[in-house]
Amino acid sequence: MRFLVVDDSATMRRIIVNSLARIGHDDALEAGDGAAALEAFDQGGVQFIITDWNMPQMSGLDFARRVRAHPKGATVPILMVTTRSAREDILAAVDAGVNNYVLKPFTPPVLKEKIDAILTSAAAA
Amino acid sequence: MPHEPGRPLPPQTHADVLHATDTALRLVNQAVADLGTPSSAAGSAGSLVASLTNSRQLAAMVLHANTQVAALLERIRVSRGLLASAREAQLAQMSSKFSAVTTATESAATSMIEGLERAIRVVEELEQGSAPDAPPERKARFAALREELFDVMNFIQFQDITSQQLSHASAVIDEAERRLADLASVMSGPAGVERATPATPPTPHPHYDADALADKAESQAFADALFDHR
Repeated sequence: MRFLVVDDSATMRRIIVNSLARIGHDDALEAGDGAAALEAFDQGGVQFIITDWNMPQMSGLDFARRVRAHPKGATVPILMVTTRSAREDILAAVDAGVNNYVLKPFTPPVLKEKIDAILTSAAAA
Repeated sequence: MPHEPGRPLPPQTHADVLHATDTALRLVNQAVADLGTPSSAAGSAGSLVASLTNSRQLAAMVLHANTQVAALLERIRVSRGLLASAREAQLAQMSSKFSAVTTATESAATSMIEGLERAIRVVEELEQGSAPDAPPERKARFAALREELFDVMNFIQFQDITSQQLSHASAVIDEAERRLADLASVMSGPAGVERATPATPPTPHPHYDADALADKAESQAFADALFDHR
């Protein structure tokens, strides 16, 4: 399964990619901002998106909305990994079409739990 | 003593400026109040002597008020210089220092991750190179070491979280700088007078979380409950 990891922090991208490898997912693309991520997504092949919220130019929330509006983006799973913990933020993520939400700092088991939950839910749908 | 812009004043000057400004305003206020108070002489219509006396008093008051207003304007000019020097010398530097800290810690964090990745590869090579009949305890120790290294890597998330806090602090400083610039601009007087340098406009969509270090357990539980029922 090909993942697209979107975060403006190179450190966080690397941690997420390493965490994915640790839980058995070693095919991951990286993007440092929403525009680059949309370009990568547009090229096809991305089956799962993990995105940060707080990014310059385009927030992760706007990126999620753009993906959902994309012809190929209606059903691709989106996991938001962020420090934003306010309830209104979490509700906004739901409205934007995000499939699950993980607060930083996270651990690889938590990441796996959320990915598995999304994939299970998608398979059942 | 006039203040030269760009040169910091001694700490007690701030208090002096405030005190002198306050005194000047009180004197002006008193002078204006005196002008509005009818004197007994003024009530005597047709008294030439009283009129002349009043005229002299009025002229003296106007002169006094003018002196006080001039002093007040000088104090405002000094205050403006202080604001400009605080804005330029301290706030701008602080913001750029925060930015430098973020860059330096991100670079250090990346180096740490690279080191840990190399260490994990070494552990895996040692594990693969160990004898097939190695005792299970030895294999378990390799696995434990690898897990420890992964855990250390995971802790480096602190860099992203703290850099968001620094971004927030930097944004607050930028906003303070902008407001001080506006204030200095107002104190510069009408058009034609030197205007203060415009500061960076506020970021409409900040890309940091001011509460990045807040306790997340309750919020994660809220998110879990929300998404689990979808």
